[in-house]
Amino acid sequence: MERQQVNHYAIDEILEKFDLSKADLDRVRAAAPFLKQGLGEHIEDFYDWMSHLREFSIFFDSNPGTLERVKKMQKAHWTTFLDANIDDAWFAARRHIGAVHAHIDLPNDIYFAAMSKSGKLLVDRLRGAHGEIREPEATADALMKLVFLDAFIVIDEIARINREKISASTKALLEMSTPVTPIWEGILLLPLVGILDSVRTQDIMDKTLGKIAETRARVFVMDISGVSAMDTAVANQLMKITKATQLMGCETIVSGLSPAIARTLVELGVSVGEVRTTATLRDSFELALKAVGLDPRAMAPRG
Amino acid sequence: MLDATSVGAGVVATRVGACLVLTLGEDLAEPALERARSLVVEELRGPRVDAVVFDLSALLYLDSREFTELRSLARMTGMLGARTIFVGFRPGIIVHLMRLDVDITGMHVALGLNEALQALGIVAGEPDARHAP
Repeated sequence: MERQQVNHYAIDEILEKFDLSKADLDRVRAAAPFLKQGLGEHIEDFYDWMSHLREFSIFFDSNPGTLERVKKMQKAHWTTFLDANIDDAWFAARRHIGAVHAHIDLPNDIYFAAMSKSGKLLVDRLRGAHGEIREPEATADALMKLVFLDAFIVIDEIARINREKISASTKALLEMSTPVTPIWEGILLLPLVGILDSVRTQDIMDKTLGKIAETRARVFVMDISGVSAMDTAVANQLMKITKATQLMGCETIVSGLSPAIARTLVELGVSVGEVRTTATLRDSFELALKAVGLDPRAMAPRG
Repeated sequence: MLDATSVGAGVVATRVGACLVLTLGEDLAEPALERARSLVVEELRGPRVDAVVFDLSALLYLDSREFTELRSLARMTGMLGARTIFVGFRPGIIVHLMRLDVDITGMHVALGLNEALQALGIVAGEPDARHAP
């Protein structure tokens, strides 16, 4: 999935969306020297507040060095925040924070509570400026709007990473559900489990044809004892698969037909054509060995 | 051992003993089909041809009309006394043909040229899987 590149046109658009005017950013920058002075204290206040949260110990007790490192990163973050130089690097830095938080699985309530607290601490400090800041109320407004933008970029990145995780695990599940395996020279096996719809059939066809080409298989044994429902649609999907393998010079033998399925197929008038079918996987395997020129009876157990 | 006899419109005909290997190109536009037809007629008039192998491993595009024409050509070579085998259908083409729900009954297909020549009794022994395309 492509990372969104925030170009200049998009930056202006997003600043407008969050109602951050040039004047607002100027006000933040004007207040920066004053607020930066108190950054060290600000961070101590912040972690003092955090240490009273139940979750604090989960993230910080295991390694004392973690707290020091995180305080340093916080200082760097608020420094760039107060510089209010909203460019690609600004967005990239916040996306990085999102990636780190996604990696440690920081709960959203902690993150938002923390951002809210940080914003308030900055505004409180501003209100205690006593004349050093020109437009304290307007600057406080600008700070809060910027906090929201900052938090949005971080959360957006966390959401994107979580979406990617879900789609990766869905893909992995699909891979695991169709294991086309070579079980002998020239023989492939697929134990089919679950539903067989057109999407799955497409996936099976792609995998099977690929494996046939890769292993030069001459027989493909498809065991359907795990297929949940047999009706005309499912039967048609099965026939499609056997037809496709035929065009690769590979014969498909279908095993795992229960008496119930056999009766259903007869009642539905489904023609299996020349496709060989058996009740047990063992019987299909025997047919497959014969098809690749081996005599199963000659493979006697060692005496 | 292989001796190329004829090239034209992207179609190559090669004799391997009493077998004619017809290697088709990327598509089966009319010039290619026409060329394949005339090659078959020409070659089957000459020294004995027991079998014709249609090698489709370079084929990238095939619609249902072209597929039907191909099967007609195969039936024609059958009538002229040669066994006919198709080889080299690409997975992408197969998936496409399945969507078109084409009729493949009676078609003889092998995985590749080696398997076809083996089935025809011309080449003995297993191909080396490492050199598979």
